Amino acid sequence: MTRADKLILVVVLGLALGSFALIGLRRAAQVRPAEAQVVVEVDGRVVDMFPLAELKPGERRQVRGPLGYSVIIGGDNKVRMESSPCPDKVCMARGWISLPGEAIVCVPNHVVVHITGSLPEKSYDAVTQ
Amino acid sequence: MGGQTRKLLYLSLLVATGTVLHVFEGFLPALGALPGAKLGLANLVTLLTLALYGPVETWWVVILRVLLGSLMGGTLLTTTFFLSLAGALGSTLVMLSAVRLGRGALSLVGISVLGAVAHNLSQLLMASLLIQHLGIFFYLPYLLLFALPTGYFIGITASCVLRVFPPGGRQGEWKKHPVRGVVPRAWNM
Amino acid sequence: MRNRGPRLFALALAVILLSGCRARGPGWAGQVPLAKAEKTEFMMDTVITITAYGPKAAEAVNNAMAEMRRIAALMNADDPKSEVSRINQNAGKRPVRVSEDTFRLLKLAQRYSELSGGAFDVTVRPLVVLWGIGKKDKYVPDAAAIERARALVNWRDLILDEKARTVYLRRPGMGIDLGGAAKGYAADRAREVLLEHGVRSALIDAGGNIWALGRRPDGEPWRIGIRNPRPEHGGELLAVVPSEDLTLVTSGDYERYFIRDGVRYHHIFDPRTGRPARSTISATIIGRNSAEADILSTALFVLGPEQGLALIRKLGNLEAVVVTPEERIVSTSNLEDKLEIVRQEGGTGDKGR
Repeated sequence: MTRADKLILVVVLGLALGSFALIGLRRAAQVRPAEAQVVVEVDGRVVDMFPLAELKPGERRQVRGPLGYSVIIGGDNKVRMESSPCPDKVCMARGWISLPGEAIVCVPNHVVVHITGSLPEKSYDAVTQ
Repeated sequence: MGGQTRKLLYLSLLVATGTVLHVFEGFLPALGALPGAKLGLANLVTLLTLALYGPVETWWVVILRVLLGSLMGGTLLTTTFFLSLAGALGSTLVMLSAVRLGRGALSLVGISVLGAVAHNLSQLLMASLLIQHLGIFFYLPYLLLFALPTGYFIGITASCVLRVFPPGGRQGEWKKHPVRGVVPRAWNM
Repeated sequence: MRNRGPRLFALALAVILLSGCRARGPGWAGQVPLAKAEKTEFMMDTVITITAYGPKAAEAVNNAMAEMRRIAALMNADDPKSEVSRINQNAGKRPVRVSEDTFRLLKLAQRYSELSGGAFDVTVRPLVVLWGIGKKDKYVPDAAAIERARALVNWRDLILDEKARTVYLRRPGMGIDLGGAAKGYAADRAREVLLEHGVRSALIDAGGNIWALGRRPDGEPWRIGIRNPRPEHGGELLAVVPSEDLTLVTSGDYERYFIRDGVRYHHIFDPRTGRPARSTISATIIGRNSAEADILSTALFVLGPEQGLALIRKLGNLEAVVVTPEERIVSTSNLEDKLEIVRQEGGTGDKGR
């Protein structure tokens, strides 16, 4: 390995660790808001949205993607992908998510389940008054 | 054999090897539950082509490999295909740029690591485009970290292969070889 | 062979890359984003914002804004040189020839003055001047003064001569006030200008008079919130209405008001009593003509939920939402499914009153 090689290794390692630290810091700073919302998207379109607290442990929701139905299941103020028609099951391996900003992503079935802090900040375009 | 024919033969061999590795890798389960976290075996062939020949040949080998590999793996025009294509094009672009800009400062290992990083980044970009969501960038740090051992491993392997399978192509295809540790020599077979 | 190689390669690459561009939802993948233009100006005592999307959006927004400025100048009763002021100055003296815009709007206003039985009255100016809400300091006129001003408010004494295009107020001291119609009319005109420039997606916010033109650039209907008249109870918004090619206008008692001795005095008068109307705290009209919606939101506000909604139903092709002084939400039946109520429950109590 040349010196430039080593430099590259160090820089990539630094970037990786730095972004880990950043994520960790953000998570540590995050208080779980009572009104956390679970947002389910297919192809970038919101198909379902409900308060995280509303999904009881064991309760399931289905979402249809191009490959078939992905099933999410609720836990104690958390959700995970229970089953998915995708070949790689990466989404299922993601495990539970519970904090705003966390997401379960299923690329093959185009499904994204993510948690927002509250109702989308601006749920309207203008106000009549 | 004439130079042209010999070159065509070896390039075909590289495409074939790449295709096999591409298909084989598709059989492996996702590593560490990370989307797009692969060993990047097919990248080995890209590295070899890049060291043995030039940018044009590399692009040919990469694109043919992705097309044939996807065709044989049965993933042509599926999500997987677009992810592979994005990864392959992205890593090739970065590796070729690294060779050009590095001017001999980099060895195959460094180039391979850069290629692995670019591969994962391109896949994430393509994935976020496909699902129209940026949530997938959650995986970025994991994939960066993952690119280190895989890139290193593939780079070392490529160096080993080149040692027993010495490069050259037509003499002067690279005047002074831009990758450190790769000495241009005439084919001696 | 050598020469055709690169070309074949380029062709193959193009085919592969383009196959990735199959139609997705209107969004970013493979689509050129529409040019966006936005402009905000202060006029007609309020803030006007126009947001438009389209190839000629910037030019469209500039011209629409200019058109609104033109309308505002015609109808500003506080500017002694405006057309409306000239009509008022010549009350009891002589008819005044006016522009087509002013004449058209006055005709519409007079028609709805009649239809609403005088709950909306375009000749309300004497009351507006007397109370001076927002201009005088917590001033409540005595009953005699209110009675004198009220006697000067009567849309029947507004004479519109279609042929000569003249306007005449029969008695001296009378006055026209288009405060409850001009913003809507200006928004309608701005919409026309945007449409003429090929704009198919835009939002005109004329101080709370909203024109939602077409759909949002992402293909979804515009989401227009209705302001909660008592935000201290349940948050900023009452409800959200998904809107496509709709105008929404709200009259509320919260825009210009003062509170004296625990009583809220606001700027929407009941011409029949000469005092601020009391049966409603917010009235929203949803329709396809902003001038009409502007006028009717005032009429609805003054008439209250029962008579007001009856009038809206009779007119047809309109939807309406009313909030009663008890903070109960009443709407036309068609709207019930579409209205997304976002006010937090438990917000209708008496606290803070």
